[in-house]
Amino acid sequence: MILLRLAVKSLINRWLTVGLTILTIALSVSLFLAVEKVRTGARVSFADTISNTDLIVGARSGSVQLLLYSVFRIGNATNNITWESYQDLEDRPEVAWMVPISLGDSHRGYRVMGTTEAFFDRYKFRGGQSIDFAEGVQFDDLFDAVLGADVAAALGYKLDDPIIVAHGIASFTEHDDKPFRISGILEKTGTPVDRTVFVSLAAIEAIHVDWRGGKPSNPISVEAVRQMDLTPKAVTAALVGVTSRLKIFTLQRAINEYDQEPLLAILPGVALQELWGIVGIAETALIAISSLVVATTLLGMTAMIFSGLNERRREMAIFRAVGAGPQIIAGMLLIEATLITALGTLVGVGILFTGLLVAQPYIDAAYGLYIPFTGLTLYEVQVIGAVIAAGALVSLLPAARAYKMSLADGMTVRT
Amino acid sequence: MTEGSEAQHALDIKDISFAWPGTSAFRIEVPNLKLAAGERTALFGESGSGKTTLLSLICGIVSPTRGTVHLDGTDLGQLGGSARDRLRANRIGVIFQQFNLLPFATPLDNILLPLQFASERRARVSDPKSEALRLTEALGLSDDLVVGGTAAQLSVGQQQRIAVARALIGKPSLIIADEPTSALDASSQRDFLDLLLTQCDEASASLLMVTHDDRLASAFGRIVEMNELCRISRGAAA
Repeated sequence: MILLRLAVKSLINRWLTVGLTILTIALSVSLFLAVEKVRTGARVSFADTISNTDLIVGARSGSVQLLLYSVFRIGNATNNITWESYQDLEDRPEVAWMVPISLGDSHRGYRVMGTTEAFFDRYKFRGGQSIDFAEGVQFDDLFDAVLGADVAAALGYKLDDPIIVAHGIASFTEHDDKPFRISGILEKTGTPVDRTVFVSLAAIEAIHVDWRGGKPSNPISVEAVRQMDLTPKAVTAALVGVTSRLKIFTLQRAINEYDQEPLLAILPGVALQELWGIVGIAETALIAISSLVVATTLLGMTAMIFSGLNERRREMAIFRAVGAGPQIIAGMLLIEATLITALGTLVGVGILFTGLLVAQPYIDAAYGLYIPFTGLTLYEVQVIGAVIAAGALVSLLPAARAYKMSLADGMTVRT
Repeated sequence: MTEGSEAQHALDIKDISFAWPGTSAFRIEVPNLKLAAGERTALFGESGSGKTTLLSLICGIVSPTRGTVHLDGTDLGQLGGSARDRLRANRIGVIFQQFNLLPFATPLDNILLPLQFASERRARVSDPKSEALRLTEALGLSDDLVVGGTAAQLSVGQQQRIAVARALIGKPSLIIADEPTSALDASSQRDFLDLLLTQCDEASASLLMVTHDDRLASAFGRIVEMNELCRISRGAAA
């Protein structure tokens, strides 16, 4: 088709302005798609913070609040679960396993979590992935601690370093009479595990045996503590696995209606979604901004075509003289804009995938945000189609102007 | 005059009047202009004498407010915009003063461009490319000059000859040339005109050439003065 060929040659003839326009469209499209990838990646990463845990149990509060403190270590529990209730639940036939979580202490801004060895086997993320040890092993001795990857990296800890736990969150009172030894450091997971110091449940009990009313009294030595019964009186929350998925709701109802103590059991997936609903407002803002960027570049393209119209009056007069109707001239501008947008979008997709290929491991390592290297989703293809359609649509403005100009100009360029 | 004899004329203008819409109060009136088929006519006029407007009217790019223009017996006033465009494509070849060609396209593409819009002319040409090369060869241009490179790389004289080939391909009945020699130097003007006339004869096309050069007049069977042909009025806008 000679007209298409001429349109392409005309574009090549103006390669500098056209090239820059294509580049801006490419960048805006790749920005939009990157935001889209990061957004879905973040959502998936977020939803994958905890998996294979059927229920999270805590004192009765809100489901988001329970999720925040038990999984994300944000905020504090309003109340604890007594050890009796914990054992009571553990004995239920529906319960396959239970992992206790005891929170309340910290180390230089990072939360300290008391739990059992089972935590490292039971806690899964990103679709059933296990926590791996980068170095060392899980706690062996009463005063062993395991560090999340971020804690170790940020504070520069190595295996066997001593570490002192502070009482409470952001507190100056330290359990310095009972130092811990680092027995293991975990691999990065991209979950709150990275920012947690793990100790055994018994250790939490041990550092608090000589505390009364929030302050130390009658110090008990490390040696003496080792001889004591360190069964906890209460835990903050518990992760629960059921024997069969069919039992989840039965168990959840049983826990929520537990009459010895007000308890709350939540489905982590549901609570995560609820939480994302709150966090996800940022999503909308991101989409809005990147859409505006795309719209701006398309307007820029229209401006470029507009500003080129005057210089191209001679070209249009030639087309008119050889018999092209004004609709052909408008149509050629439409083809031109569509070609520019399509090319820009194509380059944009190329930039996106190149960028993703290069940056993906880095982003995963630095932010624990795993952006899967997948092809374009149907939605993304639709977006690309919409961008090209929008490009054609806005070019109707200069096309209409060219239509009028070519009618008014007659055989030659009138100025 | 009967309908039959009217069909003999390549062009027949009767009592037209036209004013450009908008700013200027320029108005042109042409009582009568007839071109017989195959006739060579030189239209003499200085710039500003309304030539361009007259040519636009003949080509059906603009329509007169009054009167009729017949091309090959077809009344332009009876046709809609796109039908007029089609008729122009099929019946008229146009050569401008200069800047005839799309600079970024090859000379060959420039020559073939009208066939895209003119089905009748396209039908007369069995192999467009070889027909284009036949024309350019007759006009003294080598094949590789026409096929390779872009039109912008050609000299002005070569560009004008490419424009002649474009106007003539597919044998339209009327060639309109708007001072086609004015951009050429004096020595090559005559050569160019001879080539143009020869090719028009061969295609049995009528030629209407605007010029203001007396020396070229001898080649034309008929000379029409613009200021005798039409009335131009300027002045305060109505």
